[in-house]
Amino acid sequence: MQNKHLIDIYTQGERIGFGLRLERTFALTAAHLLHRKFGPDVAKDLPPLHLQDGTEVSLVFCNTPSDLARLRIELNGTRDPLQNVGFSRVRKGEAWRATASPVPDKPLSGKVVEPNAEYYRDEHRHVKAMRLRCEGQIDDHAAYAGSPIEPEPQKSPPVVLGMLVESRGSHRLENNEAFAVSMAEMFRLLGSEKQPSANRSRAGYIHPQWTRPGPNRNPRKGN
Amino acid sequence: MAERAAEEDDGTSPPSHSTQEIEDLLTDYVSRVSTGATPWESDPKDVVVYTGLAQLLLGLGLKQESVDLTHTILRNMELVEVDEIVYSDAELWNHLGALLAEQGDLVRAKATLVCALNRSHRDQAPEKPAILANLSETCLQMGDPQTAAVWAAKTLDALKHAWGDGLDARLTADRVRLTIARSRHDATALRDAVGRFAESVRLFAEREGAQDPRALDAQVALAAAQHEADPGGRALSELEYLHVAAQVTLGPERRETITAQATLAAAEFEAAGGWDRVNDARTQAAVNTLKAARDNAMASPDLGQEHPQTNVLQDTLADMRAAITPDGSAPYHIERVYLPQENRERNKAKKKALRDEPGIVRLIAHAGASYFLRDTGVFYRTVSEALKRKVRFAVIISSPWSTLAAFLPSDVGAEPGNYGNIEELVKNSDYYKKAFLKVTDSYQRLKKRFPEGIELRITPMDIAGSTLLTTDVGFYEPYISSNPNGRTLRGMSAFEVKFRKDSQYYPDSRNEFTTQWELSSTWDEFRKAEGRHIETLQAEMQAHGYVRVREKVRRGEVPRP
Repeated sequence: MQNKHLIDIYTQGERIGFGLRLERTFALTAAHLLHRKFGPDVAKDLPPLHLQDGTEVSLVFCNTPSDLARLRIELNGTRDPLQNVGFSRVRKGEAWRATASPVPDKPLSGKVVEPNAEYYRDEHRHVKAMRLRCEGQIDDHAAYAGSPIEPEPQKSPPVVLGMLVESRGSHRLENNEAFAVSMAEMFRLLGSEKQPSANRSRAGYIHPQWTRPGPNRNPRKGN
Repeated sequence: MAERAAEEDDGTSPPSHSTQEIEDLLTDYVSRVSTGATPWESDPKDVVVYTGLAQLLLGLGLKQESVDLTHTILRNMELVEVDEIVYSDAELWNHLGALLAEQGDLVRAKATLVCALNRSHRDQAPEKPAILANLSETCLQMGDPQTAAVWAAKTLDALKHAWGDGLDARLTADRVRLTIARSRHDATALRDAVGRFAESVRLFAEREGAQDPRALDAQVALAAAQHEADPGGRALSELEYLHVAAQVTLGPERRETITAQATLAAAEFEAAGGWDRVNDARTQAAVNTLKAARDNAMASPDLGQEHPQTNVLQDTLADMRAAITPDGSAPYHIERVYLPQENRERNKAKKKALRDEPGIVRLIAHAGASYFLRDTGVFYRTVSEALKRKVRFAVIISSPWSTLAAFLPSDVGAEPGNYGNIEELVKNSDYYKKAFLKVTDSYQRLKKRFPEGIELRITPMDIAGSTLLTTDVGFYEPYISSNPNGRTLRGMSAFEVKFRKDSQYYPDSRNEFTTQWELSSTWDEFRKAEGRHIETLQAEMQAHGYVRVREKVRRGEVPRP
């Protein structure tokens, strides 16, 4: 596959939708794709999933409010090379395009209208997503769900800004609008709720040094 | 940095020149404080403000200004305290010590941290564990793991009686212990250290959030150690995840992100068999990931081109490339070309290479004066220090009795071809008296002190240039003229190139050295055969005299080229 960060997810040979591979064993897809196919209790009723090449995929969790489903790619001891993909934050007005292009020669693209639009809120949690304007009308949102989005024009190596999710929200939706969960929001949802303060002063702290690995410094295992 | 800001300007930020103006204002201000133009008050609150400013300057990439200000703060504090203790707050000294360590001045950092520790005894300061932890990290960076381990143990002892959670100090101390355990390759100690550090990281991430820069950095160190302890486990995936998390939350050019990227690349290279010379898509992708980390480090305001951590990445990249490159197929890559006006930079780079060398240095030079003569003030001291560290030196220099002696009659008006007195000409030359004799004397003195450390050989053949090879890098300076008179006791006359061991120039130079080494004489062999060398040269010069080409050229009988 040309874009290793874009995956196709299948069940018993039938394609379900796209997904974003964050690293070799960890991917995300849009939860609503699984719900539509397998019903509300996917964790219980899910048949085996796999990639196009047959690599087994298992569901770690499925979260309806964020529309994120976390998948584990079962490599069984084999590993592809590391992906050469960057992951970045997004800015208002930034041009984007979907990595997946289910309709050949008609890539989905547009501008970021609101990087942190409200996507879901209840008394316990809130989820933000990028509100995107698309060039032209979208006939079938679900066809693009789970696709990574990248800056337009695409960069080399590719840079991922987020993943397309179900179109909904507190705003009235136009049919040329879409939603994507940004990388930053994904990590906030996956990790701690605490927001890091990257520029916090660290007075009195000494950065540890990265030391040089190598055959002379790190003898082979078992020797 | 200002240029970078200008490049990234998207039209919404203020004009880029204001960034430059701010930097200029800061530089001017530091200059006024450092030269005493701004009066120094003894108020400890001023020290806090100035230390914060020095920290900010370092963060902005204005390292020299940060260093100047830190030295001014310490000098003034020392002068204020001539008669009495004024700065009793241990935290002031601890911050300054940490700042000095971040600036790379580890010796002064340690002294300042010891001062902080003494003040903490007086005040029963709550900062004591933090000071002990910083001492531990500083000793580790100074290459003294034994003392670092003692300070780390004292940190953990002090935490038992300390106020607060002490998590910052505990994280540092446990990490120092982990680093030491990894370097000793003791599986039991490593498992124990991993367990303790994992608990510190968990508590720290719980308090600060998993995406906090220091928590992320600690998680990366933990995953790297876990991968080492259990290469088949999930730690490699964890490193991949942490690298993505660092990119997203901190940005690709943050120090912690670069560390995550480099750690992932190194672990992947090891796991894919790179050190066992496996050259496949996985090891190549690992090398590309490390190259990206090196490029990010060079562009990073946190690190930059000359930062020691960037150099470590550069060295590691060369190690990896060399490990997977089949013999004879490396690209001919030159890292840097030094021109004669860059003599100082060239010498600095060579000194660094000599200081970094853990094993053996190989040198081919016409006379080797810069390495053997203390008076030249170039490399003698660095060589001597390396020998004390048990580094070996293999050196080849030219014999004074090679046919290059034909150039010695430096008087261009003298009758050419009259080489009957060649022995006398050589022995009276500056090259022989000021370079060759002094170099060989110096060699014999060094040989007495380091009999196993140094070996000098003499080659009767002309050499094409000077070559210095360490384990990691090589330098080559070609001689632009076959006349040897300009080759010694001087700066560069042509240019010098620097290459790393992943360049084909490196194995080519190693092969050339091996050939020269086999074809040259040991010092004792040379002394024994010197009479014969002189006789051979005399015979050669007499034969040469009959040609008398120079005379014919001068008379116009043979056209000039």
